[in-house]
Amino acid sequence: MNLNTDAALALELEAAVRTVPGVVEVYRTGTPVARAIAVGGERLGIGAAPQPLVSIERAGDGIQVEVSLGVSGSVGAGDTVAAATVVLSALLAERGCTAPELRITVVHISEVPGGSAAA
Amino acid sequence: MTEEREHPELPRIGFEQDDLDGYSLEELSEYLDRGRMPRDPAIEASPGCRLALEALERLTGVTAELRAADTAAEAPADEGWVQEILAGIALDVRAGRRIPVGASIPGVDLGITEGAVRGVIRAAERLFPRVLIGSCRLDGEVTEPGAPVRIRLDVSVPYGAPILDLVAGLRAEIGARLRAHTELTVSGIDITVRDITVRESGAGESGVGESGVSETHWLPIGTQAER
Repeated sequence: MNLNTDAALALELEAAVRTVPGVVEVYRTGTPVARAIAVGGERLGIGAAPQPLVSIERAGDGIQVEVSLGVSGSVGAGDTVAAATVVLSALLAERGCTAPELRITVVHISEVPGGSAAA
Repeated sequence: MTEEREHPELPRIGFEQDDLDGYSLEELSEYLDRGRMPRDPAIEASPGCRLALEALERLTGVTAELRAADTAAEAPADEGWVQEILAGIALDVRAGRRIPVGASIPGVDLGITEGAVRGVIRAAERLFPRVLIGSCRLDGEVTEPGAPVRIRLDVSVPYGAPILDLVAGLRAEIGARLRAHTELTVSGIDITVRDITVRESGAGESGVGESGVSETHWLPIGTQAER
């Protein structure tokens, strides 16, 4: 797979995970320094097109996908990431990615009026 | 990437700008003052910045109310507690440790950051008028499923509110939020009231005193195992 293919796949994965109920936002993955470099480059117009928010790494025949999500407080975070897992796994299977490794992290929970899913 | 600007209402506190993706707390406060317009995609795309903005928004609401009272009462404001709140915010926006969620499935690693959990804990203050959470700590091995975790909070409460009832309500709300969004084994939620904010100066029946806006009381309000 080349970089362009992976970039296109990352965009597909991002679009797919945004359709999951409870997902409010997709955030850029990576360390704070890596994120700052990516954002800084985009703001200065340096480098190629904006980096995908979903991270894809290849190791041999394997594929590692990492996603950082903002979720709604109206739905339990565990339920949301479980649903995201189903959607992403299905899309990866459709694209011929066998035995993918998925890493999904909730980095923000949006407050809803009247409280969270606890209310 | 950032500029240091003077913002008279925000004392400087030490924190890593990596946690706010290169932005300073002063810049975020100014962004908030502008009503988050025009929308800055870089700020809005940073979970650390989002957490900080939400906490600052709640803090701004309470301090504005107190300043209005200060102006009317012509009493000097004691903003030491504001510094403590801001210090708590600065620590909370860090992503911190990654807490596992969901069943163990081969090839799938699901988690939630400590920062996100602290954010949802801190947001509970929204349901309790003029209550502010200062420091918020998750003590224990949060990365190990099933390990006991103790939540420790410092809060400021409004004068006149029934403290025990308020703290019990806050503890219940936080416990419910943790059950909704995490699988942490919460062994207890310790809430310490560190400050009581008053809206009007003057002693009288309150016994609070005439000199300041706030008085500091340290009252460990019991503990309760949630699970």
